[in-house]
Amino acid sequence: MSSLIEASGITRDYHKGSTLIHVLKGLNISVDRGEFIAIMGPSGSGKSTLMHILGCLQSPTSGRYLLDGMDVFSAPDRVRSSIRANHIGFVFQTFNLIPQLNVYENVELPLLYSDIGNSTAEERVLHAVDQVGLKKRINHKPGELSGGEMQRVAIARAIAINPSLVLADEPTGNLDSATGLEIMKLFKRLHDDGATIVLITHDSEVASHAQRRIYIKDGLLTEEKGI
Amino acid sequence: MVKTIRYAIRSLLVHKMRAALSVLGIVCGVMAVLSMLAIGEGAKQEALSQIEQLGTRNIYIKAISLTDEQKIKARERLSRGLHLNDVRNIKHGSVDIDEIAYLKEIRASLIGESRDVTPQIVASSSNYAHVQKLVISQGRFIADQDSRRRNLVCVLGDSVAKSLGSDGKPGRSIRIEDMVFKIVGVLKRYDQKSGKSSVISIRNYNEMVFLPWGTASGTEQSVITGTNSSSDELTEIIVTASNIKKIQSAVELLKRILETTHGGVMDYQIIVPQELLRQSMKTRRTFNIVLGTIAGISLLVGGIGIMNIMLATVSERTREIGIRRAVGATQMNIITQFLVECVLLTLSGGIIGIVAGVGSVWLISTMAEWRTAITLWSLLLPFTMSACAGIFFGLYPAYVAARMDPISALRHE
Repeated sequence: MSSLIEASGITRDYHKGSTLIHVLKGLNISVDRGEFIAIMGPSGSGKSTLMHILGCLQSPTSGRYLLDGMDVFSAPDRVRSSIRANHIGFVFQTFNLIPQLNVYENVELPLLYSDIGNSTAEERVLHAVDQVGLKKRINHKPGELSGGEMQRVAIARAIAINPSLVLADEPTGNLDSATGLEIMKLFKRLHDDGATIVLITHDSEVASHAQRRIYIKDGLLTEEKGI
Repeated sequence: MVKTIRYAIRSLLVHKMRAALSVLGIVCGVMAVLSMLAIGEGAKQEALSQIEQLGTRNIYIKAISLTDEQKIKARERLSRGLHLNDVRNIKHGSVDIDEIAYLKEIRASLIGESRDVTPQIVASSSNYAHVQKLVISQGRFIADQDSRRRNLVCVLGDSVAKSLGSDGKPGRSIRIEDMVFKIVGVLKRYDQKSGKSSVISIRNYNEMVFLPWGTASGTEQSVITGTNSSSDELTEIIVTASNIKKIQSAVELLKRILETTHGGVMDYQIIVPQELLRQSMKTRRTFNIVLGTIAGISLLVGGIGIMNIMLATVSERTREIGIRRAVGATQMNIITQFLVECVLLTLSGGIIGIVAGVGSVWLISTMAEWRTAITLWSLLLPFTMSACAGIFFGLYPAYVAARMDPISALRHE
């Protein structure tokens, strides 16, 4: 299977006052197309930073990141935005929905910035909402939904563009265990449909749904475990 | 773009009151611009219609009443005031003149039952109606022979005729002082184009009674006894230049003739409607600059208010900006989104301002009796200005939003 993600020597430093903090210290990672991996590690280990780099939201201090063979950080910001709009779906722990928009409009959001035409966009939104089982709540605003429903909307938003890569940062972190399980089943189904999923979690129960588990500690990969 | 506008409206409606208050400055600015343009345009139209009514080729020479002291000085210099001799001198001395008409106000009154109208009795040359473009509705105007034969005839203004009822028709008679005059004509209603803001006073011909010059005034022994009309003094001379381009040279010549015959005594005033129009326009320009500055300041203050609100909005919606960036919005998309919101805000202010402006223009024209005119230009300019203010004052907040780091924005609480 070909690699979708090839990252090597990724470092990321932050300045906190006069102190330089090394969050990622030369990390190498490779994810195959259609793979479902979980990145695990304690709080502050650099999991989220890695996800932001893999999602082209944040550039590494050094290192090389190839997404589908393209060196994304040598491209301008406009191109990275286009990659996010057309190829990457994000699911966040805090859902990150826009409160004044309803379910349909929240799911439609990435399509506004993608190369997908208007008529196809509507089809995609309805299909994505249907996939997460929220068709009946399509006109509801986030404030009228439960946590689990909001996360379903976020997943629908992520999959509406048919992304090459779905990045999920603690998607069950704000949900009770039963709802969390439902969400994980949804990810499993997405994976079965061929999506490449990178899941960030500190919960080994959640990570158990992935094909492969990667552990980060102090900004470095410490261990890889397959199923 | 349609969706961007739809979402922008949705975002603005989240804080309706804030949005409404933030556009107040723009509303005032647009209102001021519209009012300024409407007043300016109204004044321009009024001045133009006045000059048209006064005659584009006409030059008015009006008598000025002097104080007793000035009268003594005038007599010493052999000036008899505005006089029939001036008409003769002008006729002989000028080549650029087509016609000369003259008129004298007579202190006499119409005898009869009390009426709504107090008419002004005047004696005029027979060509006065022609020079002033007065239209006869019934009968005829004063003729040369009326003046020569001192005929006891008169022509009534429309209001005077109407106030007399059936007695105000040609063929009937009226009494002025102790003389009876036969009505030979009635003027058509004269649409007086002078408002409160007029620069030139135009006679109300509707309330006038015209007598032949020779009958009432032009002889040493006037037929109207007991009045001051037994001299050749005039109230007004109207000179029509042969060509609109000859007005200036005609005026120069008139000044020279009158200065010589009046011995340098300024007991007359030369009024050139075109010159008055120019002066009026100059005054209006100053007025427009003052109003324009006020309008500009209002728009500036309104724009700064909008910018302030937009900056607060950007700060409030930091997380939303982060979400949009995460799902693929470019910096340009973010700039467009906030600019659209800002322009929508100022445009709605502009529309409200235009409606309020139309109302204020109506109020001004009703209360102050100023002539106003709302043209397409006076609607389009403030509307465009409000849109431009939206772009100008929205650019900085939009830029701030676009420059946000997506990660920091996503983490924003």
